[in-house]
Amino acid sequence: MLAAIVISGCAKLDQVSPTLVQSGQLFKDSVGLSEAVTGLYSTLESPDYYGAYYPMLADLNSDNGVSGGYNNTSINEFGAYSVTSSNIFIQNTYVAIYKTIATANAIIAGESTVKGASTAYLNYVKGQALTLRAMAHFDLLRAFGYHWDLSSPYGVPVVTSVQSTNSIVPRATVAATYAAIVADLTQASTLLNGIAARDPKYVNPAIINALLARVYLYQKDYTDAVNYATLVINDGAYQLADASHYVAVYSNGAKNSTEFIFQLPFDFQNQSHYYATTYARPNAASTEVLFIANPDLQSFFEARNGDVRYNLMDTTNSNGYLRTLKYSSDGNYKDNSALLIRIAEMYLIRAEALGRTNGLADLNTIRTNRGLNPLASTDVPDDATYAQAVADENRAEFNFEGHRYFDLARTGQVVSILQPLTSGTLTTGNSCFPIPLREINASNNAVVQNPGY
Amino acid sequence: MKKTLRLLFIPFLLSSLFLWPQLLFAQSHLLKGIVNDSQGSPIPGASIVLKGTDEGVATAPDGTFSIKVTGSNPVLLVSSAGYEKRTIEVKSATSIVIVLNETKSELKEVVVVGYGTQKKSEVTGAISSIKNKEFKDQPVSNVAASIEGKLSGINVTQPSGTPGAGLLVSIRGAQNPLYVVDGVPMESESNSSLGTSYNLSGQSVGSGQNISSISDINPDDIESIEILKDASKAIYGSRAANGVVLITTKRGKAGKTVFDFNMNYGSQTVEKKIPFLNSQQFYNLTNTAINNDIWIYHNDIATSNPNPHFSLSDLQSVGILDASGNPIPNPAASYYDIAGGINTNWENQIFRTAPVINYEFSARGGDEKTKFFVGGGFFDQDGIIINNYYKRYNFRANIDNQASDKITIGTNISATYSDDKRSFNDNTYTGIVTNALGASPLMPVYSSPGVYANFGDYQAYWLSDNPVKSANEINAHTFSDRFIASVYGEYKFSKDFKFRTTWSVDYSDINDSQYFSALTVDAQTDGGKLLIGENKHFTWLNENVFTYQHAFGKNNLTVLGGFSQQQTEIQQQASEGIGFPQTGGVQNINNAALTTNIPVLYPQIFSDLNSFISRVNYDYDNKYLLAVIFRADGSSKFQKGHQWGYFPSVSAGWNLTNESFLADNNYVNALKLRASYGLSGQQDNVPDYLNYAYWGNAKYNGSSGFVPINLLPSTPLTWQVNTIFNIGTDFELFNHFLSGSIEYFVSDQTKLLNPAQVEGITGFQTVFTNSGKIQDNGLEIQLVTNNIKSTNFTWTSSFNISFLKNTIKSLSVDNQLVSSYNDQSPTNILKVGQPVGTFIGVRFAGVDPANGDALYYAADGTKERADQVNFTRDETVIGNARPKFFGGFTNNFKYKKFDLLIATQFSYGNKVFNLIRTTYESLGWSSASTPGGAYLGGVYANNDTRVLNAWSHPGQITNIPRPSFLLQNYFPNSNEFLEDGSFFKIRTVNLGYSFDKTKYFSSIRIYLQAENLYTITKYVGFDPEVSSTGGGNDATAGIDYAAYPPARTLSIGVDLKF
Repeated sequence: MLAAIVISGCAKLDQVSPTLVQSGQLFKDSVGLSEAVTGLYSTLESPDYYGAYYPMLADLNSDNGVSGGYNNTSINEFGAYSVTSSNIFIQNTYVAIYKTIATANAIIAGESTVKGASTAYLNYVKGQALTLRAMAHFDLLRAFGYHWDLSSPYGVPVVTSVQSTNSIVPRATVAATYAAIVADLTQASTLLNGIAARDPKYVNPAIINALLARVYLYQKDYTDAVNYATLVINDGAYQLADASHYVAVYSNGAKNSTEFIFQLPFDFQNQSHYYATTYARPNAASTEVLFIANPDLQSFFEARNGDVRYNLMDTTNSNGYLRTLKYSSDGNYKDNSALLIRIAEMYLIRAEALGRTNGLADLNTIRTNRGLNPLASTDVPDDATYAQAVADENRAEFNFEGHRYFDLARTGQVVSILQPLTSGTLTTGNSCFPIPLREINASNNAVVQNPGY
Repeated sequence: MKKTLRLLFIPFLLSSLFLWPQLLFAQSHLLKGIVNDSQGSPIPGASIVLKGTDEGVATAPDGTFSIKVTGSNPVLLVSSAGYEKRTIEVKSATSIVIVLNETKSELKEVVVVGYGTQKKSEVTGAISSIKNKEFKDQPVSNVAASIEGKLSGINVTQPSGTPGAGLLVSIRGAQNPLYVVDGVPMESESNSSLGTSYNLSGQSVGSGQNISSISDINPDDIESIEILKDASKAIYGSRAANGVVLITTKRGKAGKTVFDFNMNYGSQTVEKKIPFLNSQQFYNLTNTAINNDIWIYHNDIATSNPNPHFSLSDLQSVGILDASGNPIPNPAASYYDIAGGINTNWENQIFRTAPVINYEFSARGGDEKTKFFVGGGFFDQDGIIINNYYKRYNFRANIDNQASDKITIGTNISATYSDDKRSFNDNTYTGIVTNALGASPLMPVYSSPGVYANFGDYQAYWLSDNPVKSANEINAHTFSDRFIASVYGEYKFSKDFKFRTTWSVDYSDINDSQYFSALTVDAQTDGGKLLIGENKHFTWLNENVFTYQHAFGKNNLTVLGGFSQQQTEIQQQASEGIGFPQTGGVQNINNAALTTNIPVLYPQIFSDLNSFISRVNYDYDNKYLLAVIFRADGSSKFQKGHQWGYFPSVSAGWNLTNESFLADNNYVNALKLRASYGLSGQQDNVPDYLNYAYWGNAKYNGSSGFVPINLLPSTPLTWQVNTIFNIGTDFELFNHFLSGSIEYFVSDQTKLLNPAQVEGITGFQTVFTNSGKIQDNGLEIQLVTNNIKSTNFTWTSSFNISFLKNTIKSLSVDNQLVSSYNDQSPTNILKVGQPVGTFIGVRFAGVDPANGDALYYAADGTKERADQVNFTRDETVIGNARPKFFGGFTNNFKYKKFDLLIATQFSYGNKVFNLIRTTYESLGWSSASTPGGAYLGGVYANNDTRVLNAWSHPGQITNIPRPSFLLQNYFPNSNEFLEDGSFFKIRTVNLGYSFDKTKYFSSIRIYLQAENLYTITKYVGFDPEVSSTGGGNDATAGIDYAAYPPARTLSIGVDLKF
């Protein structure tokens, strides 16, 4: 009798999840491969990456932002430009960005087992994976590495293959990190050669060129920066909004504009956190808004008569604080797009890379499309004033889009600009975030900390 | 000592004497009576003999008897097996109720040991046992609350006072034991599919308030609770590492059917309120803070301070100083409408006096063949916070039938439905209590009739919403259906050999519904928001056990062997809807303008467990005892080849009192020495499906795809193993005056199944591994004394104390920082050499008498201001949440028909991180974190009255820093806010009176009950029993973010038997 019971009802010990898949199932054919690519893009939308926090924390850590929220020590550290290595946000962001890299690596490795897909399709997938892997490495480098110093050993761990639990990858030098980023983008460019589509939601040749322009600018390789920026400007798919249409670019969740080269779409099923962290609701208290605008940004705009970009700041809030209005639309759907690359950046990259004499035209293209008068060459009599004019245009254009802190670091201005705004003592070391303490612990000190942290 | 206590009771005795006149004298007559046990149940077959004669009778099945008594001073000798003999002077009474007390010998009790029972004298393991009479009548929904402070080695704390909330049960330092109800291992974790604590982006933060599925078991249905603490738990193998709680429900008894109706009604109030500043004091604090800032600015100049607190422009930009540097008179006055006369006490607005009612009706009886217990109950508790309640309806039927000499069959069925109207965001920074603690007294509840005051229009920027609005406009329910049933059949092959098969199911369906009206901050822009979620959990279990029991002369042998299999299926889903019509208050997902599914990582789970069970008990002449347990478990959670775990244990005992040299000794009535060693396992703490590397759901641009969701560990996962060594003694001394147990144990949790940190380059922060080791050791003492035992008055005391020590011996990665809330700075650390639950923070160096600055120790030992602290550099271990010792002291008194129980509980040396105090002792600080962002209306939060003693003039020695408007003159993550959580609580006082039997009732008892009567503690907050995760995670225990405070309950009850 017992034997009968044992045989008939025995619970099975080998259980496979009915709702998850294994990589063997996924990388069988082109359908599974495309579903993995969907997953790769979704990693960019993690709340800790472009879901809001990565670009917003970078603005908070600059003269654009002030920390709001409930007196959260970790948020306040950004507001005081003194992030420490146990900060919960950098810890999460660091891993979220590497999740993109790990997923890209899994797809690149997985392609070898895919049956029945065309070489063109495999190349298209690999090109996207390489581009996003390069962008993730670059985003890590400018947040956690000495990206402004090409001779520095403090790059970031470059990961180009699937890692296991025990893997430890030490930091590459800054030069090696840049080299890996450029190599991935160059290879991707070859693989995607001939793709004509310019959907800003998916990697295409213009996005690769725009990223290359940005990376070369950071490396101070101005010739290449100009070349790639020009390729994008002349692409034909993108157009600057003029002064009367500029503010509308950000309405309805900033979903459609020829301004956008690379944007990440969100929808009600898959929400972003920009609205909640920068606006919260029409009469929100300062505690509800994590990323408040700095009074310094208001003073900055007040000295720029006619700049339509000032209209994207809420200065009349009865609760006595300032906030950006870039993500204030669509509180219902909470689907404000992440704006990774806009065409305006290409003009400003070229303006900066070409220098005072040749770049002023590009700078003025931006100014005139934003309600400002063009600058005469007498307005920028020397390189310093010109550099300041470019920096100001970048700040006016990209505040609360995650550029400011990296721009300050890249141009060596973190201490001079931010020191007056804090009671703490800043050094050049504050030009990037510390490596999260947990990475140093988990790697048994193989990953070393940035100097000064 | 004892004498003093006796004296205290003399007034009590005297007053009672006058109430109960003595019986009159007589010569010879017929005496009728009844013999009851101490519970009022009749004792059939008791022997009654008239002293000095041969005349005697036995009581009828209903306990009654009649006997002719003669003589001038007739005396009856009354006895029954299992009860103490009594000698009773009859005098001239014609009717009498005789109460026999159960024989006090603790060692004769029967205890449940898992897959069987044993006499306590034969038990070789460390097993704590508690019977119904020790916890009945308490107005609690959760059985764990019934054992608080009563058993050694078991620390029960109530992290939240919300009705229906889970409790933190820690057995020998390990949390989340396995609960087994009438042999069915039950799901005891919180299964709610939704979070209950969200930040304002709608992200779940912290787990807030647990619900507990143990609350589905009605405490009134429980006959006894046994807790397996040592290697005896190996019989439950793979799930027993954290201890096993065996719950036995009431079963039928042969005899007349006894109906029992028990009801009590209680009134609950908050045990403690924190005194807050009134409107004028609040305004004064702000002004003081502003004036202090001006003073410190000038003082910095006067003393040439190299690190000035502010620059002139800081004070000018806010509007404290004018362009020429002169103070602006009363600069903040316009923001503080003192003349408006509003003075809201927010604690009075959210707390209320709330009723709790419990009805319980049962019938228990049967004959020699069939016995039954059927019962139903209704428990209805309103929370002490407005708009919060818990209602539970439960039914039970336990039936046993002896179908033939060989076959016995039976069933246990219990069904429960509960509706938990939640108090939302408990113990997080958006909760009702949290908001009430910071709210400005100048803010009214309603700005005009029916319109909630907009908190943004008033000061105190700490708030996330008007607390009364949050309470009224968030309608969050957890509906729970629970069905646990089993049937068994037992076949006796012979007198010694039997087989038992049991089939059982445990089904629970938990539905969450959380509606945020369009008035709430959470859903204002959404036009109303509804989250719904469902978690269905179904387990079937089949157990088949052979038992052979035989005595070979003086050798007694019991052998048990069996096989069990079970499968659990879990289904989860959740969705969200926004945009609700404003007419009619509809709150159904169908009325939402937009709906979306909330992704669930594992929407469907199957989990299987197969086991082989065996146990051998042998004793020689009840002197030398030996028990050997072996269990093998196979689990589907692990990879093939790593699924089976083996859990042996051995224990031995020696009953010294059965040796001739101690026999018939009045000083040592019983004495047993025992020792045990064994293994048990743990697997419930890991998610399913860690057997393969999986990709889970992902979305992008309207398409659905997959992303990696887990990493595989470098070596396949296997069982977490607990090895425990225990030595103990059970004793009964001095003519049964003192009995008890003393235990010493060393328990190692090895191969811990825990998320270990991995390099972020993998795309993951952690991977589940078997790594690390935690050691618990401790000494436990449990004593019972029969202080006074006379005809009319008995007094017994029980006392327990446990000294437990927890140490992390190794970790996969040392020095792991842990955040109690996933968007907050770390509050805890996992560090080798320290216990789990260790706090980190910066060390407070006191207040500088010269200028009132709060000072902290930097890493190099120098003192620094709050704005100079570098948290990562300066943080260090500052204490831990574990008590050095804890226990309880309970006294039972019985005087004639009165009975009184006083149960107390104590804990010493546990620390509490009072994070919410960083809000309500913010010292007039304004909300902005940088001086440029501050403005005069932006004060952070109202403060408690302790800040009236803050530093106010140079030279003042105080521990409360200088109020400052522009500077946060305190560092939240410091031991300035780490408090001593030691306490002594008068947990329960129950005073009862039992009436004589009447025509209709065999027993009537009325009682007055007080729960949480009084707490002695230095803790500043509501209550030191707190935990950030509702008890879910012992790494972050003891964090107070304004947890729902406990209620003091005064109740009256009646228990009728007929």
